[in-house]
Formats: sequence, C-alpha cells, structure tokens
Amino acid sequence: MKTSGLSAFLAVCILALSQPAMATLRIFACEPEWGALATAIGGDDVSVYTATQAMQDPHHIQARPSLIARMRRADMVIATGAQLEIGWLPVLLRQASNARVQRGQPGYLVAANYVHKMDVPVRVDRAMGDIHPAGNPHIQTDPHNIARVAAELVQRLKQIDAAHADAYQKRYNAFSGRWKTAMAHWAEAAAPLRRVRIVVYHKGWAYMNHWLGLVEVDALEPVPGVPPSTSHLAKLLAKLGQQTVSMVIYAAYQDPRASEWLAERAHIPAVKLPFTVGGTDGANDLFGLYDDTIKRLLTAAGKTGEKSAQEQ
Amino acid sequence: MPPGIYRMNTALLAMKAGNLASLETIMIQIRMRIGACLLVMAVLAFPLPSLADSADDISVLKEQLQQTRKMLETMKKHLLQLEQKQNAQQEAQEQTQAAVQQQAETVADVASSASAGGSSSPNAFNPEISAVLNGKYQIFSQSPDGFAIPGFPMGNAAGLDDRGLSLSESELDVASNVDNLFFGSLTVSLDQGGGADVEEAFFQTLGMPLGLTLKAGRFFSGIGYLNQFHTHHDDFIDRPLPYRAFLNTQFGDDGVQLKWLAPTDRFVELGGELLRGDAFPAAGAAHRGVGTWSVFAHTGGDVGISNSWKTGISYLRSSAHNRDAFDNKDNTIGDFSGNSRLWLADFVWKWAPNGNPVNRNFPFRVRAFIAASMAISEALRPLLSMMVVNMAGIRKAFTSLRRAGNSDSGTHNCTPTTAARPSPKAAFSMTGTIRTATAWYWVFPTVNFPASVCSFHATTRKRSGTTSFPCNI
Repeated sequence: MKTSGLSAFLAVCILALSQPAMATLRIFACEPEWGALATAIGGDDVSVYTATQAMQDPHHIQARPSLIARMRRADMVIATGAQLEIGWLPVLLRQASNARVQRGQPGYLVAANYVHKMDVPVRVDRAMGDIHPAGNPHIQTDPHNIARVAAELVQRLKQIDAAHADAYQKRYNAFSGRWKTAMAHWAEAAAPLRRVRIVVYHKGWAYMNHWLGLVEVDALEPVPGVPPSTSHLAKLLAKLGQQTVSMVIYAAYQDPRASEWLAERAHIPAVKLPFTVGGTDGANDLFGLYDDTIKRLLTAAGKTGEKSAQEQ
Repeated sequence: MPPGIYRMNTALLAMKAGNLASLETIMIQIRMRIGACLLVMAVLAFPLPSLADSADDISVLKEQLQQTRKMLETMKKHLLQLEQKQNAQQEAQEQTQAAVQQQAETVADVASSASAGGSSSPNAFNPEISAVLNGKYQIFSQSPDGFAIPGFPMGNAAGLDDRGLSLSESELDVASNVDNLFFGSLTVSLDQGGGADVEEAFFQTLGMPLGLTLKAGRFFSGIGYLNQFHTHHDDFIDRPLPYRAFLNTQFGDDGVQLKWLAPTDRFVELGGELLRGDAFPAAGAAHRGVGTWSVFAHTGGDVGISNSWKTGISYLRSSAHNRDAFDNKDNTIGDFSGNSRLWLADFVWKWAPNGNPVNRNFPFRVRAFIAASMAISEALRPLLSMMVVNMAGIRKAFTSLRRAGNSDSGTHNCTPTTAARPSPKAAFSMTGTIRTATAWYWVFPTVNFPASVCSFHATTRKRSGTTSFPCNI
C-alpha cells in the first residue's frame, strides 16, 4: 500500500536524520590547551576536536567549512573568551545551528571567566592597539589557571553527561593530584628565573611573568597587534643599551625575524616558547608545555649568566 | 612575672590588633613555649631522689607544676582561638575571591563590544555597532560614460564609478542576539550622494533542531561564494565581472532562506530561498510578490593544516516584469520582461603556511556562471612579490565565450524598437591573490612592502556581430 510505503520512507528519513545514541561526548575546543585538558579529564568518554593549532595566530583565525561541520554536532564548546575568538567564534555559533552550545547553555564554557584576569585596561581605545577590554586573554601561560578551568570543566562534564560523572570525577582527581605535584616541581625548578628581565614580542605572557616572577621590560610590538616597526626597534635597542635584559621571548606561531634581529644586536638569546600545547616538540601535552617552557627559559638565562661571567 | 606570661600578653595584644603575620610568628613562639613547658613537665614528672629531704621544695615544685599546667591550658585555648580566627579570615578571603570571579563572569558574559561599561551600565545590552568607510581613486584610459558590458543588460550597480577621487559607500552595521533563539542584523548603506539604503535587515535562528537555519528579512542571497559577503570585504575594488553582469554586483532581496547543515564531519550545506522578486535579475515583484527562488549546495574541507577548500553549485530562477537596463550614465536604455535562469558554480582554495594567514596566504577563487566545460584561456602564472597596482580600466581583459548558461527568455524592449532574440550568454572568471608581507628590519633606510597583489580576470565579449542598437544587449 502506498501509505505504508510512504510512512516507511518517512521513518527511514527520521531515523537517518536523528542522532544515534552517542557513545562519546563531542567536545569542540577552540585552542589546543583546552583540547588537551578535555582529553585529560574526559579520557575515552569524550572525542575532542581542536579548532586551531599551535602554529596559528589565535587572533587571526580564518573560519573554515570544517569548523562549521564540527560545531554542528558538538555537545560542548570550550573557548578561552575575553574576546580572543571574537573574530570567528560568534559567526561559527550562528552558522552551526546547534542549540546546545549557544551562549548561556551548559555546553558553552568560557575558560577566562574562571580565572582572575590581568591587564584589565582602565580606558579602552583602538589607538591603544588590539587590546582586550576584559583583560589579557592568554591565560594558559600560568598552570594555576589550568587547574581553575579544570575544576569548572569537570563540573560541566558531569552536568552534561551524568552517566559518566564518576569516571570524570576520578580522572579529574588523578589529574589534579599530578598537576599539584607538577606545579610544586615547576616552582622549584624555575626559582632561578625570579626577577630575570625579559623583552617580549607580543604582550601575551602576563600570567607567566606573574607566576615565574619575570620582569617584562618592553615589547617589540609598539602597541599590541601592530607588527614591530623599524623605528620602534631602534628605540628598543637603544633602551637595551642602558639596562640589562636577559632574553627576548616570542611564541612559536610568531615570526621570529624581529626577535632575532633584536637578539643579535643586543647580544642576548631569542627564545622561542611553545605558548600552547603543540608549539614545540617538547610541548606535546599540558605537562610538557610547562616543562619545555621552563627548560627553554632556564637555558637562555643560563647562557646569559655564562656569557656575562666570561666577559667579566 | 615569669617571662613566659609576658610573651603571652604580647601574643594577646597582637591578636587584638589583628595582625595576621605577627600572629603566625607569635603562634610559632607559643608552640615553642608549649614544647618547652612540656619538657619542663617531663623533667618534673620524674622526681630526683637528692631533693627528697626538702618537703618545702617539693610543695613549691608542685605549685609551680600546677601553675605551668594552668598556663599550658590557657595557651592551648588561645592557640585554638587563633587558629579558628585564621581559618575564618582565610574563608572570608576565598569568599571575596569567588565573588570577584562571579562578577567577572557576569561582566564577561554580557554580549557587547561597543560599550566599556560594567554589568550595571544601561549600555550593557547594546548591540554591536560598526561603521565601514570606503574611498577610492580611479583612473580609466577612456571615459567611463561609454562603459558597457557587451551582450549584457546592466543593472544600476554594474557600471563604473567616477574617475578620480571619490567617496564610496559608507556602511553602518548593527547586530545583536535578540534572545536565545534569534540573531538580528541591520546594515544601512549610505552612498556618496547622501541617500540611505537598507542593504540588509534580517533575523536568523540560532539553534533550530535538525541543523536547520532560517533567515528572514532582506539579505544577500546564499548563492555562489562571494555573494553573501559585503563588497568591502573583497580583495579587489570591484566584484568580478560575472557578478556585475548577472547579479548587478551583488544579489540581495526580501524573503526567506532555509539552510540545512548535514550532521557529518564533512561540511555539507543545502539551502533554498524564496524572494520577493524586486532585485536584478528579477524586477517588479512578479507572481504576486514571490518572483524569485533559488537553491544551492555547498561543501568543503581541509587538506592538511595549511589548505582548505569550498565548492558549491547554485541555481537562481527569477521573473522580471519591466526590468530596466542602464548605461553608465544611469539612463534607462531598455527593459526586459520574462524569466531568467542562472546556474552558478564556485570553487575557493585557501592556503596559508601552517594555517597562519598573518604573513602569507593565497586564496584562489574560480567561478563559472555556466554549466558547460571550461577552458582556461591563459594558465595562471604564479607571480610572487610583485607590486601591481590594481586600477579599474587599465586591467587587461581577455575573452572567452561559452555556450549555454544564463538564458533570458522573454521580450527585450529597447529604443529603437528592434526586437532581438538574445543569444545565450556565459561568463567565466578566475581570480587569484597572492599575499606576502615582507619587511626589512634595517634601521636605515626604513622600507616596508606591506603587501603584493596580482590578479587575473577574464571577461566576456560578444564574439560575432555588432551592436547596432543602443541597448547593447
């Protein structure tokens, strides 16, 4: 009969379009550090898709069709916030047609809301460069912030996926224990870095400087987001002639030429830091990220120490 | 008074003063004192036989022991109180920290980038407002008054603008989430003559089930690749010639659009539109105000981390009722009533090293406004780091004419009244942009080459026959 054929066809359509029972929770992480954190806490119960990777400038992401497709089926979105993804995430959220991850839903997690933000500007004006009104968004450079976000992430996971709540809590407890041990170890290892003076390429290291006690003397970018100009570099070089600076640091995704130019002329090392998971070979997970960062900083600081001892 | 009690009073005084740091040190001292007292007690607990003959001494020692015990108990009590106070202070600190974080959460969640006010400011819910300013400088080898796209009727926005310095269209854009279900956007375009025009005014759903998105209002159609982007986003000063010829630069109309996003890892999107039928290539709101409809499909993906592509096909069917054709001086030179069918295929490839487009990237776009086979008249030569100034009119145009494609079937009226059956028209265009930023970090001289652009552009020209009537169709 025609009607039973039609209803069978409709049933097939509905079955095809409806989502089958998901074995794993789909997580869309905007940056690699949140992807690594979601994997550490979610384990086999989640499948994580990371939208960007360490060699991309997180401020200048060009939206790709695959991002829309992945967000369409995501159960949770983890973003840094503080307007870091303002250029591409709102458009993705609109086009992805996914009610679970819109703003205000438990599936929408903004990491920067759960940490104390630094560099909150008193006055906001575009003449000051690409500053973020809510504060510095590069919160992943301080491991304490990772711990704070992890605490919130496990609550959200338990809220969205109550069936695996015990597993998430167990993994979080294990991760949290290892993380505390690691942080104590890093604090001890990085003790020689206290009060070391550095120059940065982009002002993305505020949280790391606060954690390790580094003193940021100046930045190669005249204002955040504007590439270094020759006049600014000349001024900076003259300034470094007056005061001792131990190193120039830049992130793995940034163009090293300006940093290397300054380092060569000021006779200090230019240090490439991973900035996020995957930035360098040593930073292949969250623990490795800070291990590698501290190792590179110590090596560079040690080099300067040796050199100045030799010169003396 | 024994020195121990003096210390105790100091401790009590410090506690009252509320100095936590000194409290800690004093607590440590108290603990040391308690340890010392315990040691004394341990010594006193084992009486020495040599003192047994003096009963007075024993009673004195017992009294001292009792006093020491009392002192110990008081010290223990005070220690407990101090610890409780410290805990209370720590809790209060944590509570204020949590409160600060919560406030940060409320502030950060407010959807506004325009206002710097806090969560209590009345501006907190204001929409996002942006203004776009455009200006241009144009040089043509011939007067733009005589410009025409041979073989195509031009809409009012398909021609060239004035020579020399001029202000282009200014745009005011206001967008915001209306509530948890809808997003609204308004774009007002202010042209250099002073008129204001509503370019886009639509609302769009945010989370409809089954991956559907509904858009309704006035908007740019989703056909093709470039059509839905505003012209100020383009890499070049004007749209490719096929867009100008077939879609009057940019096709937008009033109506509804429904898109479906497939629940797959590969991006697949299907969409359809029902539109009023007022905008070129339609006119006159035929069929009782539903004069145009379209369907389109897009798909795209990544190749590694440095490449991504998107391709699509679209079909636009419009009914025109007295659609005007213009020359470049905005004079009406003809009109058309009938149906118009347009097939469109587009392909975009973007490359950026490691996916980071900041210093170098290469977007490559091909669009065919036909369905037949394409032949590339000239191979794309990669030209790197060449300074090419893109001036409309001086660009070299080379031709290719293809069969099938856009067909207008109906009556063209033009003066003088020579009815002509238009031949099928087609257009193929290809643009490539290679961008590389280089800067020399010399102190002297300061030389910066911010960008290098090169482009190819294919246009169409009627190969046979001459245009003997002024309509140029």
